[in-house]
Amino acid sequence: MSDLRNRLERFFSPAPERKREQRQDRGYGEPGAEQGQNGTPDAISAHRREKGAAVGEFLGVRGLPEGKWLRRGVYLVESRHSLEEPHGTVPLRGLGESGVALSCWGGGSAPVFFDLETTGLAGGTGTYAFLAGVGRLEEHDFVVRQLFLASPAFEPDWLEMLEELLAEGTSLVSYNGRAYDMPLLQTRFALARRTSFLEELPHLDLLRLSRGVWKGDLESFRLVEVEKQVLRFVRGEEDVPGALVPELYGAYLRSGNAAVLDGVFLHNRWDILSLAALQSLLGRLASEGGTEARDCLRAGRLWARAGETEKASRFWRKAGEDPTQRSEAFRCLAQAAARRKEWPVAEEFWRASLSGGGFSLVPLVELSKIWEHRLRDMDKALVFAEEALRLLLGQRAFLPGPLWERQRMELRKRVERLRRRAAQQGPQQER
Amino acid sequence: MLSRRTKTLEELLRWVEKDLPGEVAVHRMLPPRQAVTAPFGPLDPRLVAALAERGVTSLFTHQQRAVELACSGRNVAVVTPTASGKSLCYTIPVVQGILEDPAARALYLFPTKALSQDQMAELYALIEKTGADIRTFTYDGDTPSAARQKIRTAGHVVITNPDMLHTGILPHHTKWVKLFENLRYVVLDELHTYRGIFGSHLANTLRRLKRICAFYGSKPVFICCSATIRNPGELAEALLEEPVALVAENGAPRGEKHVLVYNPPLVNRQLGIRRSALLETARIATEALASRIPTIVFTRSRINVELLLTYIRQGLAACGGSPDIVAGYRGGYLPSERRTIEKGLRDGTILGVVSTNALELGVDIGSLSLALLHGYPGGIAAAWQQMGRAGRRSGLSAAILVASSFPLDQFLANQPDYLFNASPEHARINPNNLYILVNHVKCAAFEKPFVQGENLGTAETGDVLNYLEEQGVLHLAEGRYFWQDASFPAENVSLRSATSENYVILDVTHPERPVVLGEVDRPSAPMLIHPEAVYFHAGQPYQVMELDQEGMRCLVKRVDADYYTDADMAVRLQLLDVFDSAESWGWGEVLLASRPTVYKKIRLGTHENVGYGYVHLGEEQMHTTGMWLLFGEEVLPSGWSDDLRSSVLAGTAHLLRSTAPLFLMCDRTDISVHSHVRDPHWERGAIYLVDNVPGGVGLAETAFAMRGHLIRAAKEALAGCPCERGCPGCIGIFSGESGNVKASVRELLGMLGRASA
Repeated sequence: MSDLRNRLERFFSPAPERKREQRQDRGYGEPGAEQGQNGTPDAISAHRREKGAAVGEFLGVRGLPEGKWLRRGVYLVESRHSLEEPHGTVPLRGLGESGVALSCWGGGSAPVFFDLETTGLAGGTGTYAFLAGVGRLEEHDFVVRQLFLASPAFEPDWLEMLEELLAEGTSLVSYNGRAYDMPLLQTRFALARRTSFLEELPHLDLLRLSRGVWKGDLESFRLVEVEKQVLRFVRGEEDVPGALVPELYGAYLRSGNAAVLDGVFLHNRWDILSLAALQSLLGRLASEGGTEARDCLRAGRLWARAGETEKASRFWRKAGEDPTQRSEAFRCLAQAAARRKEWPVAEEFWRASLSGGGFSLVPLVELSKIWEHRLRDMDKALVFAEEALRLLLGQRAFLPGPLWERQRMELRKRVERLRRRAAQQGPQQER
Repeated sequence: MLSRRTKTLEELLRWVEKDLPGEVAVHRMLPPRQAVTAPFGPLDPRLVAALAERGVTSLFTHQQRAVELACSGRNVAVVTPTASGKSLCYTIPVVQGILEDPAARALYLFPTKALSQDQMAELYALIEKTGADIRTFTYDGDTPSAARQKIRTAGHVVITNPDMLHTGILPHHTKWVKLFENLRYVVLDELHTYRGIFGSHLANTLRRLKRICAFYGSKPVFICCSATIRNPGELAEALLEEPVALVAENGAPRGEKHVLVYNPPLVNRQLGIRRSALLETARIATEALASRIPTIVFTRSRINVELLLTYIRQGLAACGGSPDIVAGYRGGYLPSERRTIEKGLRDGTILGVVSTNALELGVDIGSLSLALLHGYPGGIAAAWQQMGRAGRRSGLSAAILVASSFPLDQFLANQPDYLFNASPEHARINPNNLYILVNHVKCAAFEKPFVQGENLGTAETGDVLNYLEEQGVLHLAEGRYFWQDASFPAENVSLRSATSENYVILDVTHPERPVVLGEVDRPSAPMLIHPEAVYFHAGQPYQVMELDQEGMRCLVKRVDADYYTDADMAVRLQLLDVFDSAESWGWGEVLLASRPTVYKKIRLGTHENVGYGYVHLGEEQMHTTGMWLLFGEEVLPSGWSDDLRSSVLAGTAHLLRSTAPLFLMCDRTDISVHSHVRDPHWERGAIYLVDNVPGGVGLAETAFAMRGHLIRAAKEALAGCPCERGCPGCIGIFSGESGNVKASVRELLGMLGRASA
């Protein structure tokens, strides 16, 4: 064995200058060098003895938050949260209503919020979940249940219990769960040689929704960012960054001491609370257009993406009543009309959007296009194109050089072409 | 110069023998052979009808045997020359199996993507005619992600490559439940390519595949096809770790075939200089193509492909022919370009092709009448594979090897019997190579936890699993080892030693719309596309304007150059660390570095040197492990000149390189040897045997451990070789008058034996 270890170490760290990097690469370095006090040979055999006990007899796991063992290796932690207490600035009231308001995206009257903590992001069959947070409304409280897997050996039982918990409502609510959590669970069920009905349940993915609503407003759609910007919720220092989670679980498995996971339990609970608050906020936005005029625009965008153009237009018209949002609202209405091929209506909205002020190159260009290709009046098309070019020339200082240059070239070409076509005059056929 | 009247192939051969100034060293006729056929046996009538519609009314005996074995559930390896109808050997059992049970699935593994595409088309054509709903898909890096979901669940036949199986399918096996639950057949084509390190990796990938199949309750039958090697059955059994029935007797008909070795004429008898083999090859190819004889020309380097292409086109134009009937084909051409050429060859719009060994593998280009080999490709198996590219089921075909001035080629020209009598090379693998095994144990543990005591194939894993557990990569609980690392292990394990990094060549002749011209693999870039290089693509010269090493791009411009460039590489082997040593042997870490130094400008046609320049590029470096053997003054006779010492060390190194793979169970190309008359580190003579894989895979270490056997085997090989002064099979070929190198090597080995006894 020691000969094998020597040989392996030699292979996996051949180049002197690479040795240092590889030291940090867990798994390849010398066992004593970087595992700190736990890494000495004595400590290894000691922790193995201890660990053997921990896994063989789950009650030997130390340091878990208060809770109870449901089955061998499966542990439940429960916490209750008052509906009156806001998460960030958003109260958790009305979770059923907001769920219904979002039914078009998979929401429901009895939402079950869930989020998984996993052993990595690599995907594939080697990544598993060890902690699932499941939140739902119960009488007058919001209850978060956290199902903990004490060792991968008990995963089949853990999956079974999780499936039960998740099926207690009308729909699932997650953050990126459609792309990440649900496929991961499917993989785990398949490895346990089982199928699961979870994939059939309605599933509201708040990441997808958030992307649609705050596109352009937020730089990142990581949950912690959205919390900060939208819910005004800032996590305390006790929080564990998601990237550290796999390593902490590994440390727990080696030591049997679950106290290192305190921050992970907290992190996961906050995730669930944020999901609930976020749904509540998005539900209000979708049904009432939210609290500020910009939210009306967002609500419109949300409905437009769902194909509900009528609803979308209603919110945009409402947004248009606010002078600060007018030009943007009319742009949205113009684009919607263009999609319906109602060219005169689109033309009108584009023109209306010009009165809102701001840098209005886009409406001018669109107007020029509509007149050239749809309504076929080259003179009018030329007027708007020339106006756009004039506007652009005045904007040189405000735009990045290459972008400005490219737009100028394009507009020049457009103006030249329109001049030619206008000179030929008459309603002409498209080339 | 060229005769106007077109020639038949027979006349062309006579012309080579009689009218060309060089000498034909040998001309052998391989007689025609009749087809030996057998009835279909009990096959589904839909399949029989579909075959009949494709013109197949009976099977050749080898096909029938393979079908019968596979259908009865036995693994089979078929050794198939070109044009013997190998794909039916697996297509029939697979289609039959799916017709019997529509849930059944099959997995095809081809070593390259191009072959997958080819087979897909052929299989599809047959399936269509059966009228059954059998879905075939290729699944590789190019498969759009939208299509993947459907392929995983609905594909009856999934065509992929080992790399994709390793990184894309096995680690995601839960998405392929349907496939793994119902996997009836696995087809391994081009089995002979899975040798050495690559083969050892594949063997472990197959171990993982079988482990996953067992998990889902399937046990597939393997159908393998191999080109001629010395030990196809042995290789198949080593890869599969199961009994494999070998089908080697070929029932396909063959027309009469002629094999010639042509040696270009001496132009300077005193210096022994011959006319350029490249120009002679071009001349014969031009004559053949002008006579509309379908011809394939093989050469060893990419530059030579372009030169031959250029000369043949010039020759065709000069005699009033169309230069477009011949195309180049080599690594670095875009896939679309290659497909066009393959299609042109099949439908006859292209009559000739000049290729590197890129066309050795079974890419379907139809049948050609003449194979021209510009130089010996370096191995018996490869030579016969290239010559086999010309061959028809009826009618005449021919292969001509044009000997270059390399000593090896001249040896063949002088002793052409070697070509006919030497056995093709052995293919060896070592699936239990520790380095490779550990990597695949990691991948397998990621795919599914190991149970204590569970093996991977026939390899015991206990120590490896415990090691990985100690390292925190695995976690042991309830008697099972769980993957406990955030990484995705398959991504860090490449099945192939060669890097897949490529430079993209951009034609910026019109800077406003650059065009992607082709690509060059990273290790070759310093030679071929250094700044100022003149690079030929499809017979057109381009000058390299810029080599962007960070962006992996190379910008070139069309030029009218009448020369090409050829860079000299300086190779440096440096000892970094000694891991162990005993007597004059040792092993440790070495650095292999190569750097282009100067380039020469060489005029087209005359090949005269018309200038040179310096190349300023960094070194390409590879850290790996090496074994060395030192020669102090006590073993090197003082009477030997430096010249002789150099030859003797090189000869000994060559001998070790031929014998070592036997002990290391690797391929010749997995190791490299280097000899230094005066090694800068040891300050005496040294021979190095180096792992030709970044990081090393334990070959040098094993060589060191087996040094006694190595020397003994080298002595035996030398004693057993009937040649007089050296041949490719032992010490290599030496020209010059430094004395009898073979005798001196024997003397040296004798002294070594005494010194270490």
